Amino acid sequence: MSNISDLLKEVGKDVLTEDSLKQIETVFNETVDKKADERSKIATEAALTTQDAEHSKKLEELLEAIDKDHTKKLNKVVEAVDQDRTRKLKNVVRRYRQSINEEATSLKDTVVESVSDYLDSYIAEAIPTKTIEEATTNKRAYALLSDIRKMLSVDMVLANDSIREAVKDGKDTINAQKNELNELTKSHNTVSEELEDLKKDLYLERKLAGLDEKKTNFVRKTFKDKDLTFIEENFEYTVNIFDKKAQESLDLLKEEAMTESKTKEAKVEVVEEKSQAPKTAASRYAQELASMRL
Amino acid sequence: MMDRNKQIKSFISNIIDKNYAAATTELKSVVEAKLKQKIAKATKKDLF
Repeated sequence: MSNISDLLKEVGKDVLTEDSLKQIETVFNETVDKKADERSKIATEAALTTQDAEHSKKLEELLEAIDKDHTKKLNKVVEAVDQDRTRKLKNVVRRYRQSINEEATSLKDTVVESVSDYLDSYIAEAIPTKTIEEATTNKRAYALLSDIRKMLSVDMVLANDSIREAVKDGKDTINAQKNELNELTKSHNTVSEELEDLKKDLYLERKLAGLDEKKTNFVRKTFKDKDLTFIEENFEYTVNIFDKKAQESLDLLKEEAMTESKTKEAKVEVVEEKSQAPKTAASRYAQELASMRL
Repeated sequence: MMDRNKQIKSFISNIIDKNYAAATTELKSVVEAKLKQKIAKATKKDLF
């Protein structure tokens, strides 16, 4: 490249001196250098600006990617930590709840026992055991005394002397009247029995009048301990039975007399027939008649 | 004894619930039972 000075020499070799040329060359060079510096500076700034923009964009993308990654990882970490802490906290809550329940039960029993003991001590202080025992003893003794009074018929009224005398008099009177009543009852019974015997004798006397002695004795013996109604009902029957038995005995004696006259030395065995246990009044009388020797 | 503890628990519950009428009734029952127990114990002793 040819220098500016050479160009100017050729263009202005007749006009320009050597110094002028040098000056022009200097100025020109300075101006060109200056412009070149400015342009290079501008280009550098533009390049730097472009580079900054690119770098900024890349950095933003990088930061965004890093943020996303970190966020994702942090979320996982947070979730894991949350789960772990939650599990631990649940265990702690369960443990404490169990402990609280046990302690509460124990505390409840303790409180109940304390209240019971306090009431015992309060009652012991307000109403001493000795007082209760004394009152109980008095009550029991009073009840026992009342029972004894009832048993001995000694009432509270009888404790008074004047009333006691009146009651004694009343009791004596009652006893005397009771004895009198007993005697009267006894006398009445005796009189009644005598009256009954008299009625019975009178009846028998009237009925037996005109009969022979054996029949009379038999009838009296048969009705010895019987009452009048029985005698009235069975008199005729007894007399008939006596007559029948008497007739049978007579017949038997006649037959024996005849037998003895035919066979003087023959032994006659008398067979006695015993009837079974009589149950009716008629059979009883018949048995009695049979046992008698007419 | 168990009934008495139940009554005391009921008494405390009523106090906590501020149901003072029922608490008074329970307390009376407990005190009465305790007095009866003391009287029964005293009755068992010989009179003479």
